[in-house]
Amino acid sequence: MVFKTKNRNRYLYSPTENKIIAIHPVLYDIINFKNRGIDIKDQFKKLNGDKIKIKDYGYVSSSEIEYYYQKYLLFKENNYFKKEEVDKFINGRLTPEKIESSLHNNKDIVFEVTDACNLKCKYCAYSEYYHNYDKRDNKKLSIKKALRLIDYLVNIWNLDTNQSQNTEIRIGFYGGEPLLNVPLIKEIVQYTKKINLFYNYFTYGITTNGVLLDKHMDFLVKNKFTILISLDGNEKNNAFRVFPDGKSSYGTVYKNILLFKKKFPGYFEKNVSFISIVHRLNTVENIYNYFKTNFNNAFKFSEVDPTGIKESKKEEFLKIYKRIENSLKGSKKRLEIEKEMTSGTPRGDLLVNFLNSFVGCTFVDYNDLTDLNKNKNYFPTGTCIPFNRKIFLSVSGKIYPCERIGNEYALGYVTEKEVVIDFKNAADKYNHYFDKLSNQCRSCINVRGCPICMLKMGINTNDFKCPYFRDKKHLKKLFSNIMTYLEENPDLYSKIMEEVFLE
Amino acid sequence: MNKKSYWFTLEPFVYISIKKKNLFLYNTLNRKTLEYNNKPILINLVKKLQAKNNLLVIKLENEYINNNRDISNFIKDIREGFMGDLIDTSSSSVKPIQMMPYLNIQRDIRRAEREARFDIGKDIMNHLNEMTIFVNNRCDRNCKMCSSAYKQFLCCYKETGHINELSIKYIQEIIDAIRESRVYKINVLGGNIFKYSKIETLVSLLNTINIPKSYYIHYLNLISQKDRMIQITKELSGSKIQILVHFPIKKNVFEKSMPLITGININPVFTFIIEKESDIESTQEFVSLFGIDNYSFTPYFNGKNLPFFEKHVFITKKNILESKPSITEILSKNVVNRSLYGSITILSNGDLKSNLNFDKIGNIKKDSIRHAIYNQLKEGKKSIIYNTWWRTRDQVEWCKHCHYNLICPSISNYELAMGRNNLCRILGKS
Repeated sequence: MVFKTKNRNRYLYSPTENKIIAIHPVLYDIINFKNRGIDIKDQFKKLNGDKIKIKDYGYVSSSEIEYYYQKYLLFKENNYFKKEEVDKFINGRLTPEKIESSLHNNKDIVFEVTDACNLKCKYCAYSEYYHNYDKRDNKKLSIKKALRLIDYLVNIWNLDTNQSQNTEIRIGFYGGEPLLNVPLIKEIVQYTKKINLFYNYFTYGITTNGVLLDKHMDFLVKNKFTILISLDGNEKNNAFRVFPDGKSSYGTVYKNILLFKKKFPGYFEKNVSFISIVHRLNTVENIYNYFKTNFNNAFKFSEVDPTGIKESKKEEFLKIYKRIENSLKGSKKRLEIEKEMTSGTPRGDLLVNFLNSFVGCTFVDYNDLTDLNKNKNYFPTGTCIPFNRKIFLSVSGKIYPCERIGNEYALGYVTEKEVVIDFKNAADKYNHYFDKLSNQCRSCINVRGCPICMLKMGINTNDFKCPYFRDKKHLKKLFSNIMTYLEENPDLYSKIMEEVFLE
Repeated sequence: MNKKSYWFTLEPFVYISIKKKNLFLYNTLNRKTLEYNNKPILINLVKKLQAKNNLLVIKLENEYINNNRDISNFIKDIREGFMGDLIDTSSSSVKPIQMMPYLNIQRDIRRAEREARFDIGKDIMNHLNEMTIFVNNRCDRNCKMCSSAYKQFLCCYKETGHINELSIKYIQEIIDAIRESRVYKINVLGGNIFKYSKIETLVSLLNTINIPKSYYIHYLNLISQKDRMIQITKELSGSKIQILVHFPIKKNVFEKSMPLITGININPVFTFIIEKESDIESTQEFVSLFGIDNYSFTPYFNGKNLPFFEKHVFITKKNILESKPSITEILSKNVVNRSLYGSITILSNGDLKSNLNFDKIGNIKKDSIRHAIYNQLKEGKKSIIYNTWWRTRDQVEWCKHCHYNLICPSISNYELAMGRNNLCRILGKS
């Protein structure tokens, strides 16, 4: 495939070699003609030695044509124009053993310690807009269930099937607002501190709205928690984050953050970060300016989840929903924000995904690099293997591979007596989804670089059609946009290659 | 005055090497090379092209090119070798870029040096790709090469004195540890593996994992353990049998062994271990006489046959270029040893080694494989015992001065066993 950037530079992309190469306009035209079944040399002969005009370039002689024709042949001999074997990217199958092995090597366990919350944020994933969650009725996670799951996992983490040595296992606490159930958090921390892990050690993390931070910061610091605080910017920007009586939470949260910062300044900077939701009351630039001015901590943006919206609430939902990309459009600081954040902005994420997928320079590990996985088959889309990254225990005792997916994707459950995960059923379920996708993926030109989780695209609906399907025209446009951006910011290429890691 | 200007670009598939005052370029697509001595202007130009902000493209004025013969000749050479190009700047408004070849290895252990949060032990077993198990050290033969050949290539070996046998308990542990790993090959050797007391259990245990296995047997041990061999080999249908043969061959034993092999319906690979010129001829006679079509030669360095190696093993520039490595393959050889990386050997006494030419990294009786690999990674940069996985030609004498050092195959066990790094005819001897 050949494409031009907005700056009128020409490139060749070879899917088989997974390489992008800047090419001369004459070579660009030769390949383009060839793609349309025309041999430029034949055309040249018809002109009886006159020069040929190349668009946006000028007239070229027969010797120039001959030179670039030879170069074209060199690429051809080296398989640059060979059709990609798409099947490789969609033929992977999950086995129960593979999922079980993932669980054995899981490094992140997240407990939804309560579904209660002391805020009533307008855009909450458990708000009136959504249909895909279990009923929230101020439940607390049973300590017996939580410890049962820990025991179950410790048993398998200590087996020889664990592929790691001296590696962190992160225990995360999530809600609702997790600080509404601190007794359970304390119990889990105390319990896990007494466990003898053969190959791992525990660390702790929490995602909080910060309302109760003043009461529990000593405990969190003492146990070396990493803390992620949800805050959408200044008071005006944060106005969707309200108490049940509709009053703003900003003052309380801001005061608590300042208290934390004052009491534990070093810890605060190193272990506290922020997450901000972009919506109709703020912009990415507002949020960026706010954190740059007020704190020296890491922060990231996210969007309100647009999946699982009730049909009847769609219109209302759109009144609060705003895409980060739209928020950045027109921002004077767009480039500054994108360059600083690298990943975490749509264009940054797109660039990272593009460079990792289409430039042939990114490898998982040394074995990947030494070609030993040449014949490996991949799964369609960017969906994780269940439990490869995370295991999430909901307040009702259901087990999920992630906290960010709908309640229809539970893969098991915990009772006070046992942990039940049906690995075969999980494998069948995922393989069924893969089958549903494979035909669409087969003709999707972005099959190699698809970063989307299939569980976030409504895969279990009957008439499922991938909303991210891309044909050749789409891909050309995507490549053109990204390469234009890179031409104008070439320093980003090395920065991403050297500094951005996908873990 | 002609004010025309060009984007001058080097292709991303061209390997560039600069050693002192010498510049070398290699086109990985057509194998063409260019070499320039003592041309600092060209080295500066190439370094400018390689700058992070330039990404292999710079602007050159026509006047500059025409007024500098070295530059214009260089560009002419580059274009002739399809290693780069000149593109009229009027054809585009902003400089094009080339995707400069990089190796972005997500689990690169070098990240640990600059990122405190990088977890070196995560999925550590994924480093493993080949497992070699010496199940015992018992054998009745007295081959001259026994004590040294196994350090050069996969070959049986015995020890006089202490008799060891790796118990089934440890074999089971190994299997459990690698069952879901990325090991793509298991090699099983002795001594004489037929003397392993629980060979049947060993074979059935190994048959429980879906990883290709190769069993190494010396041809002299076939006939002496005839019944056991027949019994065992029935179970080896999915595995590869490697029969090791060295000279002088006992023709009568060989004659008796061949019907045995054909009778049990296995299709072994014969590895002829050669030390001298005449061994090559003898091999050819043997394979023709016995109708063997699946065989290979493996050279053995006996300490005295360097001329033989120089003639038959040493590689030339032509050999190196003929292998046509990709730019990724070339660059990867600066990061990891592609021949030795990922291989762990377990000796019959339980010692774990990442390379047989160096000391152990643990013992299976007290260390898990995972722990041994962890040491391998953690200590890899500190000690020669551990660093064979990352032993690259850029680190060793002679090779580090050679432009071909990354195009050339990675350092092999032969080089480690022989104590010299350049089995080639490119630079001088070490």
